[in-house]
Amino acid sequence: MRRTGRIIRMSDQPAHAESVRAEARSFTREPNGAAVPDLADQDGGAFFCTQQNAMTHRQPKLPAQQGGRLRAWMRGLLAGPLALVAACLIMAGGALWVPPGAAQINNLVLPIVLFPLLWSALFLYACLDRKLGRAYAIIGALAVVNGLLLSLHLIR
Amino acid sequence: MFKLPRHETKTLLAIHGWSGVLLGLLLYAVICTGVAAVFASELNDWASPLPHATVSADLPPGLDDAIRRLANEVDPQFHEEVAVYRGAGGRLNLLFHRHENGPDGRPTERGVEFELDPVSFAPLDRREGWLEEIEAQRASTGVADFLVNLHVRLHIPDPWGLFVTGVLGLAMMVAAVTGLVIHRHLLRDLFTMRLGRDAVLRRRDVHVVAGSWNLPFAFILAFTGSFFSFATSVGLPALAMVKFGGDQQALFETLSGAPRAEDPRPARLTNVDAILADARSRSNAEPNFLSITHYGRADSMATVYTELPADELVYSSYVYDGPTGTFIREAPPMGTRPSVGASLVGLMYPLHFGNFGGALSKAVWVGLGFTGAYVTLTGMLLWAKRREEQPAWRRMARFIHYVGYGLPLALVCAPYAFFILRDSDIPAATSQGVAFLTVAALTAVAAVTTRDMDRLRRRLLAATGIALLGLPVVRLATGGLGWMQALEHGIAAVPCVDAALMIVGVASLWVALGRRVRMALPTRVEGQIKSEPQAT
Repeated sequence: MRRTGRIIRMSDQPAHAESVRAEARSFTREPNGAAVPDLADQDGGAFFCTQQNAMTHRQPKLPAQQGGRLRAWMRGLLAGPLALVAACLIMAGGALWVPPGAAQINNLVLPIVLFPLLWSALFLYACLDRKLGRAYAIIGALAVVNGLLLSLHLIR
Repeated sequence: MFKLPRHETKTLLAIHGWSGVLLGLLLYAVICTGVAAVFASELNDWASPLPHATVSADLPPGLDDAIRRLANEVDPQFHEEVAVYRGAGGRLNLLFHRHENGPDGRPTERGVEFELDPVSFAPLDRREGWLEEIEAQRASTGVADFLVNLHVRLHIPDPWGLFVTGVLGLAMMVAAVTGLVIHRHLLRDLFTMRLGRDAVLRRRDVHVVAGSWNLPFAFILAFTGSFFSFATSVGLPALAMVKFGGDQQALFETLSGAPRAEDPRPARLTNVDAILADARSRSNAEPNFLSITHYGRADSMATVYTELPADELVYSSYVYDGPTGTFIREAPPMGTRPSVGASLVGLMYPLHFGNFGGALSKAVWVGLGFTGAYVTLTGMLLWAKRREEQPAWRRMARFIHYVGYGLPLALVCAPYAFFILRDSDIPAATSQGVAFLTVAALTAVAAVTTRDMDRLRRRLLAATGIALLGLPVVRLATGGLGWMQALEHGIAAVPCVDAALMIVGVASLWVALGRRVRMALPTRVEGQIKSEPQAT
C-alpha cells in the first residue's frame, strides 16, 4: 500500500515541476521583456528564484531515486576525499618522476606548486564524467601508480 | 560563450552554488581578513608608531654595532642564525635562534628576540622561548597579527588551520572555474545590469557582474592561497618523507641552496652595514630582511632580501661570505640557480600580497578582495533566497546575515581591546580574541531576536560604522599619536589609516540609513508568506 501511494504521488510531480519552471522563466527575461531559457531552466528550477518553489516540498523517493542518491554520494566521495588523497599521492610521487631540472629542485617545487590545480582538476573531472565507474578507474589508477612508485621508493 | 551540454552545465551550476554555500561563510571570513591584511604593515605602523621621527630604511646604518652588542648578551647556541627585519612603526627585530623540533615534534625555532629603536638602537623589548611564544609576546604588531592569524589559519592550531584554509582556497578556485564556465554569454554578462524594480534580479545581476569581473583575481588569490596553506601543512612534510626520510630541515636546505661545509673555527663577522650597502646598490631596492647563519664562525654567511625592484615580479636574495663580506651569488627564491619551480614560487608572493607596485597595487588588491567578499556574501544570500520556503534555509539565510554583517563588526571591535589593554600583561591576541568573541556573541543575540533580517542588516552595518568612527578616537584617548605630531615625524600611516576608517565608517552608516530592503526574505504570517516591500 505504501509503495502504491508513493507512485501515485510521484505521478503528479512532472506537472508540478513544469509549473515551477514556468515561474523560473519569469525571472530570466531580457530587458525588452522577451523570455529566454536561462540557467534557471537548467537547474530544474530557478537558480535565483524568488517565488514559492514547489520543488522544495518533500516527496517520497522511488527506488530509482534512492539509487541516484547512492550514486551522488559515491560521486561526492570520489570528488572530495578520494580526489584529495589521489592528488596528495600524485604530488608526493611527483618528487620521483618530475625532472629535477638544472637547479635540481623542480621535482620538489613543482608538485607542491601545482597541487591546488591538480586537486581542482580531479575534483571537477570526478563531478563531470557521466560514467562514474570510469572516473573511479582513472583517478584510482593515478593514485595506485603513484602509490606503487612511492612504496617501491620507500622500501628501497 | 561556453556551450556545454545541459547535464554538464547543470552539474557545474550545482558545484558552483554548493561549493559556495558549504564553505562560503568560512571563505568569507578568510577573504575579509585578507583584505585588511594586505595593509598589515601600515596597520602596525598606525597602531604602534614610535613617539619620534624614524628612519626611512628598514635596516638602517648602525645595525652592525647593535648586532655585535646583542650577540654578546645571548647564549652562543642561539648564534646558529640571526634574523633581522623591520617591525611595527619601523622598530628593528633581531631574532637570535637555533632550529629545533618543538614540543610537538614539528620543526620550529627557539631563541631570543630583541626589539630595538631604529634611531638610537636602544632595546625596547626582549622576548625569548619557542618561536610561537615569541610571536605571542610581540605586542607592537598585535592588531595586524590578529587579522593575519585569522586569515591564514582561522586561529586553528597548525597544521589543521592551514589545512582548512587550503581547502577553502580550493573551494574558491572551484567556484571561480565553474563560475566562468557556466556563463553562456560571458561578454554580455560583464555588462548586463537590469536596474528595474525587481530587487532579486538586480541583486543577481550585480552578483554576476561583480563576480565575472573578479573571476581572474579570485582564481589567482585562491590558487596562491591554497599553495601557501598546503605547502607547509601537506606538501613539505610529504616531500620530506619521500626524499629525505622525513627530515624537513634537509629539504629546506636543499631548497634554499646547499649549506657550506662546517667550519666551527671562530671568525669575526664582517661589517653588516657594508653588506647592506652593497646589496642596495646591486638590487636598486631597499633591503628588508637579513639572515646571518653561524654568527661568529668561519662558515658564516649573510643573505640579504630586498623589496621587489620596480621592474621585477620575482624577488632575489644576495648571498655574502660572513667573515670577508665577499659577494657569493644572487640567489633565486629557491635553489642556487634560476629554475621554473623557483620562478613560480617567487610569483606566488606578489600575486597573493599585491605588493609589487607599492601602495597603489595594494589598494587595487583591497578593492578586488572586497569585491570577492561581496560576491561570496551575495552568492550565499541568493542561494538561500531561492530556497526560502524551507525553514532550514530560512535559518541559514539568517545565519548568513549574522556572519556577513556581524563578522566585520567583530573584526572592527577587536582593536578596541588592543588599545585599551595594551599596557596590561594580557597578550594582544588574547584581549582581541575575547573582544572579538564577545561582540560575536552579542551579535548572535541580535541576530536571533531581530525578526526582520533587513533591520538586522541595517543595525549591524550601523554598529560597524559607529565602531569604525570610534576607533581613531579610542586610539588617541589611549595615548596614540595625534595627526599633526605624526605628520611632523613623517609617519603617514597614522592619519591615512584614521581617515580610511572614518570614510568606511561614514559609508557604512550611509548604507545602513539609506534605501530600505534590497532583498529581504518574506515574513511568515499565520502560515502564509507575506512579501516584504521592495523599496521605500
